[in-house]
Amino acid sequence: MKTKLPFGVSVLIALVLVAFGLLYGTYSGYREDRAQVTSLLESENGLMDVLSYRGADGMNLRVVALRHLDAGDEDVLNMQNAAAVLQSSTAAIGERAAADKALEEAVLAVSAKLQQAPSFQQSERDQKYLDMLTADLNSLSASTTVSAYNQAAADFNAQLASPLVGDLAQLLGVTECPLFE
Amino acid sequence: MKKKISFLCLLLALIIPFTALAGVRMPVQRGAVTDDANVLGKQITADLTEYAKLLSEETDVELHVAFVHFLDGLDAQSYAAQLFENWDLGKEAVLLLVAAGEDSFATAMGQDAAEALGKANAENLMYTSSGFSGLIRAQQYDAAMSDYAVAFNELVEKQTGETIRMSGLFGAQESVSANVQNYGSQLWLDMMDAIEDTGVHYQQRYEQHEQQDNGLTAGGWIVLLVLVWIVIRQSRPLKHAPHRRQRRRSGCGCSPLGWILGLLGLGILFDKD
Repeated sequence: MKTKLPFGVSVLIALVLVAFGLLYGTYSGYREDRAQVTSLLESENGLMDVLSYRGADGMNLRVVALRHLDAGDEDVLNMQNAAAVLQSSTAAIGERAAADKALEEAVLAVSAKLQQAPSFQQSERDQKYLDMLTADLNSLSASTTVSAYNQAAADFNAQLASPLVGDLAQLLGVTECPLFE
Repeated sequence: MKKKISFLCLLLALIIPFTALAGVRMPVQRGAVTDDANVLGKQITADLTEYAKLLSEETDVELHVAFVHFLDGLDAQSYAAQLFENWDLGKEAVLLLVAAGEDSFATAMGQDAAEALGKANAENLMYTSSGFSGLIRAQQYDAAMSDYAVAFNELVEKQTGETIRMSGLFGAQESVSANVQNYGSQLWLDMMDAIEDTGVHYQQRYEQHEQQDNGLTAGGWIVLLVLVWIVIRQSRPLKHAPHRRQRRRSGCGCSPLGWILGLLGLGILFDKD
């Protein structure tokens, strides 16, 4: 004999199915979008790598600077500290953004000091190394990866801030992507 | 779509001509001598390449030489060890690394090479057994490598008993500082190209993704509607409903099959692409 569900229970099951579809669809859609943005940050040659290479350039410039400036020079130390944060695997994106700005300022200050140092003025090799390193630093900061990440993160955050579906996604635990600024 | 993206990522990874390790850029191996700093002359490069070939033919030892500008924050020994691993060099290999911009150098070697030559002996070649360190610091790279190769060969002969004829190789190198014309790094340029490619690639991928609908796919909604329809058709008629409606809801007898097919169809919900 065929069993039949009461009509109310059937409607309830139908509603649960639709609700599941909505919730799962919203959650998986947002999760996938977030993963796309995160891949711009963490994948090979993504933003984290770009920042690590800027940190590496900071470390390289420190080697050149120490041939002409004191090891205890404040700007050299600032540059070294900022570079270390950029190369760290544990620093959050906000910390890296601050370190990147600090690196930029320290590199400018160290470059200015180097230009004044008599030994640097006599070293054609180190002048060329300074040019090489600052050019690489500038290329890295101007790379499309930085702008691509910020654009994608901003778009995702705007999408997440949209009423109803965005609110639902946030309720389900989807969080905003941090901007690199 | 996911397969296509994975394939593109794999392709990108394969064509990138360098490897990177936690923010440290390492050159790809280009034969026995890899001069990313572009500080070695053509003759010394050719001589070193020829000597490395003779060495591997006559003995169980391999010699590899790498020149870079900088070490990206690592010390020379750590960089050499990582490069050795990165290049997947064997137990019989000796890698001499020189960072021209840092005036530093180091040797990394496999277990068999260390046993054959003596680890301390091989490391001493950079300091006491040749004029290598002084010449490197004076940026006389060709002369430094010539001295090193001669000293290395003497060590090989002493330790292994094998004689490698070096006639015609490593003639008198001029003791002048390298006049480096190009202070660029091919490694860094390749890196920038790869970063730009990645940025563009991601941009395209992102734009493509943006054009797709979010949430449930059309297939997902259809499956859901079918499920809802099956559930409602399964339901028992209301007590006060007319007889006619009761008959209409009696179903065709295929409800269990409908449930199974419907639930199998849920898979569509999980695959957006």
